[in-house]
Amino acid sequence: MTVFKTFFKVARAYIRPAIIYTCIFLGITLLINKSYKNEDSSYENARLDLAIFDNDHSDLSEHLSSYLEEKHNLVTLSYDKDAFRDAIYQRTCEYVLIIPKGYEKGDATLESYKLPGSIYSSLLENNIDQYLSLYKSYLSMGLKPDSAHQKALDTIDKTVDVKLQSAKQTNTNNPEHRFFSYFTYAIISVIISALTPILIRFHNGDLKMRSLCSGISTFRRSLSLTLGSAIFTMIILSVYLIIGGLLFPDWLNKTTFMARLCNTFTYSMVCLAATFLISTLTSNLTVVDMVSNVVGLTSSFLCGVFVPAEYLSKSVIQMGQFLPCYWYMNVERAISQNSYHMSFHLTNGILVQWLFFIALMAMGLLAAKKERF
Amino acid sequence: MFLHLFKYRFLSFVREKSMIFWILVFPIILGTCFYLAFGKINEKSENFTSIPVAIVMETKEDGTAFQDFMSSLKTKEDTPFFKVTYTTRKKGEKLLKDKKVDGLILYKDGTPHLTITESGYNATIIKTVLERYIQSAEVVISAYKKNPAKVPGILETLSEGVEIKENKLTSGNPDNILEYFYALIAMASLFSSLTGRTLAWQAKANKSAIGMRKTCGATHRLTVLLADFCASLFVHAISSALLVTYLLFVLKINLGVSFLATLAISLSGAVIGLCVGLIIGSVPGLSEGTQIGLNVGFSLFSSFLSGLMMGDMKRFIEASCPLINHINPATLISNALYSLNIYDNYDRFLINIFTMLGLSVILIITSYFMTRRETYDSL
Repeated sequence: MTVFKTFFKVARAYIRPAIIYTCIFLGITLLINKSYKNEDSSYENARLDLAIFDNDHSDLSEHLSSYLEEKHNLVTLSYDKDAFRDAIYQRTCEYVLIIPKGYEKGDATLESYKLPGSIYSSLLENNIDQYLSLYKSYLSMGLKPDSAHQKALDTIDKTVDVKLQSAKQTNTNNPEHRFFSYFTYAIISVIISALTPILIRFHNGDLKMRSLCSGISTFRRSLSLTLGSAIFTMIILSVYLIIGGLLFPDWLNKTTFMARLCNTFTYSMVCLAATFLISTLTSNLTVVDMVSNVVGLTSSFLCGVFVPAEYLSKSVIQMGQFLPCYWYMNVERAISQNSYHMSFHLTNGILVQWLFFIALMAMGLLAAKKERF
Repeated sequence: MFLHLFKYRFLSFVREKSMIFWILVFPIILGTCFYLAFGKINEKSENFTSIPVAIVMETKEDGTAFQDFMSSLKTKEDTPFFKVTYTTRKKGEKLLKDKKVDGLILYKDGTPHLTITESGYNATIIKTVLERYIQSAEVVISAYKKNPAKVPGILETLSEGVEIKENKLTSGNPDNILEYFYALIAMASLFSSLTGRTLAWQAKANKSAIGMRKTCGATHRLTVLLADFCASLFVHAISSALLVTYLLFVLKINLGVSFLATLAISLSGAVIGLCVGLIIGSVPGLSEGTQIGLNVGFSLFSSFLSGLMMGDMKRFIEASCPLINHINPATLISNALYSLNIYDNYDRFLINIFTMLGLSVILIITSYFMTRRETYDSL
């Protein structure tokens, strides 16, 4: 118990950095969550951000502009190529349409600025094509421009019957799911950064020498340290869960509450085991922070946290399977989808994570035992 | 004396093998990880690929016109709009439920009916095309009733298509994934703040034995700090050069910016990082752990705000608090690289560089005043 009590005495000296790290990574998680737009699940035509410059000021150009204004979101930009570049590159505007002087007379063609091969620009050009072909057809039937415009709009209003059918739930873009996804990055970074300096104190210097001289075996010493670290980890985990509960109280009432709790607890234990191993490998605090960044960012990028899993290539997904974060995300996705396969994914994912815990702890204990003078 | 101090500071860095290893290897590992994660992302998200649809023909009339219409649609790059599977209603519903197709089209009595599972761009395209079919049919019928002689002309107008001349946006690389790599280069530069903190720690007599020896020494504090600063910058220059070489020549990422320009911008960022580290290391009363925490917090948070973890973060910050983007060092580095890539002139690049230089001057002066003329009652 001496080592266990000493752990908390040492932890008290490192409480300020631990609070700093927790606040930083929690702040990052919350900011990312806040900056996402929630998708509405009801069906509607996708509206694009579009800028129009009408230099023709003819009936045709004005009717085309008013049609596009109705269908999409008009963005105001200055008539400057640099402004177009900025807006399109930063995706604040997806398409810039220029109607040059003389377009109605047939002296000029429409001009555009867009991202090559983009699906968004194909959609918009289809809208333009659709309207203009109808408008010109009605004009050729002998109608006046205003009547042709109105008739074209009436014809465009003839919509196809659309039925929205439920499929496999893919509700993975809700804020809850995002919070618990980014949680993996935050928790591993905080635990490595905050816990490793405490453990390093026990693996180096006076404290280590006094422990080795004492009657406590290396195994008991390591066990006490692990227990102390586990409590420390649980405190950090509780902070995240409380914040999660305050922001998204719904998830506390769901049937998936226990599954999420189990998943987050297991992953935290894996982070603890990784930290224990890292503390035996280095004593330089600067290196510890770099390691925490490498481990945190690498596992987050390769396991579908920052980049959705459906956009990753097969080889990356296979590589990700060697990281515990991948299995955590599998379980989290299954929980979020509320899939009937959930019990399989849950058991599978949790078990694999515990295997990672055992493997990392074993390596850490072995490295601790092998320390010699 | 300066060269002597520079040499031994550089050697002391090199002899700290774990530190050197991580300074050199850390950005490379992250660069590789980004490359793996983002390699295929644009192919899967933005570039147009044929939309899979299932069509069920339940019509007594001839549906050949509709089938021809669906299979003939192509983009300007000659990619078919749709990947069509003709099937039965039950099989089609299963394909839709399993998300193997983005839409199920039931063609019944001359009218198509669409079933989808989620709204989005693909669903909108399918709906738009089907509406096109219905609307074109209406125009033709209307023309036939009014004046059948006009029908061939109208059919030609409907199938003509609109010509839209595409203007080139930039001669650079417009790939938005580059933002992540720019943010990575920014983070690697700002990690010099950890070295800066070490310099400040080792310059203080109450913090380290070497600080005591330096304080007692005859060499002017400014000479010592300058030599240490230059040696650290040299080490980070090697690290940046390695990272940029790796990104440009091994991973063959087209950053849109030359090697020397990227290195120069990266070094400007390293200067800012070193100064911030010096300032944090000079703050009295903070333990080593707290100082390191603040350093990591600064470099990581700064990189996060420039879009390291989420590409849209810069735009979100621009919409909510644009001042942050103008003073955040990582955003300045990222924007400097972006402006060299995308713009044909140097206006925006120079604004970013001058802001970075101004920030560096302020930070250098602040860190100098924080480290000079400290006296101790006892050590």
